[in-house]
Amino acid sequence: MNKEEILALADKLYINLTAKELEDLTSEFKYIEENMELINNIEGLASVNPMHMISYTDKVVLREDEIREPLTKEEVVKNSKEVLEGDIVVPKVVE
Amino acid sequence: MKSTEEYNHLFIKNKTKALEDLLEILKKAESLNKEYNMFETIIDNPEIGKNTSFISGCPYTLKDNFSTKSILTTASSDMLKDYVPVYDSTVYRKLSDAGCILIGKTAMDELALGGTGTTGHLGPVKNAHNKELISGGSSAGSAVSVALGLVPFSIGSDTGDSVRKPAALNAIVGFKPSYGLISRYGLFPFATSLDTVGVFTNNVKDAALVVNEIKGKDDKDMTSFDSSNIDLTKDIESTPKNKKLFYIKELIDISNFDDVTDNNYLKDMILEYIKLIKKLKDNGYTIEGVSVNKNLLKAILPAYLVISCSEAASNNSNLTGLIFGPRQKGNTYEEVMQNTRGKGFCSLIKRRFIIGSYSLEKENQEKYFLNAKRVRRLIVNKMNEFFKEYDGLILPVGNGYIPKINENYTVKDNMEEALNNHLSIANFGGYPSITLPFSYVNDFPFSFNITFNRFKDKELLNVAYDIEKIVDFKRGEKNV
Repeated sequence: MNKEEILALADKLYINLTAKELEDLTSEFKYIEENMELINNIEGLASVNPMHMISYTDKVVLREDEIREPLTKEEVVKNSKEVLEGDIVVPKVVE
Repeated sequence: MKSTEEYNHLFIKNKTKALEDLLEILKKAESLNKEYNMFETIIDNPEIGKNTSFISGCPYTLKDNFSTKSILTTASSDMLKDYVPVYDSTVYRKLSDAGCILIGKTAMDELALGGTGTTGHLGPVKNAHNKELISGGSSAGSAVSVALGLVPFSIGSDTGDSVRKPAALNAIVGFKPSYGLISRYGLFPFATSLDTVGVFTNNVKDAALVVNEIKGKDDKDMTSFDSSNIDLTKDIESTPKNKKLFYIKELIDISNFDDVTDNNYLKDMILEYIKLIKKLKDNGYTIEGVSVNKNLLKAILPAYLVISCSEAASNNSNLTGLIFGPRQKGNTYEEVMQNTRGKGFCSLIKRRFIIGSYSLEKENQEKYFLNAKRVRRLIVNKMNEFFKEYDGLILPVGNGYIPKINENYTVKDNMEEALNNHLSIANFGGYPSITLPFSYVNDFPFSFNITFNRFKDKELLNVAYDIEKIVDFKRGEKNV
């Protein structure tokens, strides 16, 4: 991973990086790739079934429908930075 | 230090005195926080519950990544610095119903993604044993609040070792139960396939008492399971039947580590571990070494990093500043998100998200993400083989060294990294796992860990209770 590739990845994640963070990431990726070689060299790895979660169930887990009081409008907007007449103000998305 | 039982007795017999004591605890919390920096929030007027359980009246602290309605919950991140939840986590609700008294929300590594206790937005949490040292993390403030004797228990979360490692570094008990024993509803997710609620206490019995109250199936967490037939405290004091343990030879053989000529910490720690094993054998335990391929051991940390960072990048993608959080300025919504996330996250978080996202890219998934999960499967298969012959795994926690808070400390040797990070094996398999203090080596607390097969929480606690008696650790005393 070179710096341009890391910056492109950071852009996809909508994260600004400082020069130091970019430097750290470059060496960290080197470390990760060296270590991934340790993983990739393990014999017979390709035939192993990846472990996505601890336990699998074929049961469909659905809650019973339950009528509950919804959050109040005050609760919904409580953590928003900008609120206008009870609505959350967000940056313009559609040009 | 008072046990949960002592707090409970006082609460039942002399409520007035218990409430007076509580005021003292709150005062002490304020003054200790100035020294150790372990709180995000200290509760001004704690809610006093009813006497409904064996732990009613116990003051406790809660890691700041558990939702608490109307109480600031920041996960020690600037991104959530003003966030006040509108709902309770199941754990908090159950502890309130059990009559426990929340006195504070504890500082942590930002969003639970670190292991040092130094990356929270309010600064490093200091080690209870020596303020110059890191406390370990991510449940840093929780560990320190118990180790300082402020509260008899604290609740944390453990994704790789975030309860058991800081417990070890602060010389207290850290218990991570089986994956699914405790509901995670209302716990801010880090890596969903690994996240587990855990508890810090001063002794094993208290860990059993607390987890007994908060465990159980919860419709709001589909990974939780029914454990109503399990009483973790029943027969905990009986002589255990499960006394056959194993250790991984490669992790305690000094010849497996590069350049140990100047690494007396590692050598001394391993010698101390051998003393522990001898002591347990003298007390009737069968403990044998087993062999695990070194490449597989070296792959533990990279596999953990890839899996946890990938899940974290996805789980935290809602932290954009658009709907909630400290939104920064920008000409477009993309710029707003970039500026908000760039300013709101610490460097470690940004780096981990980028590593995770890289592993999830379509062209990298096979080589990174899926291969890491294959390694996870191989490690779990290996452990499950051992569990057919043995009751549990016993290993030292860490490499014998605790860095200073501002020290730029890195481990160069992959085997030493494996020794430092083997606790995540228990998260890979969802195993119950407990850390207990044994002694002090080179003036650092030295702790060990025992891990049993999944669902064997009761058997593990029974053995841990027995071993705790044998070890007879005294805080602050160098019983070497």
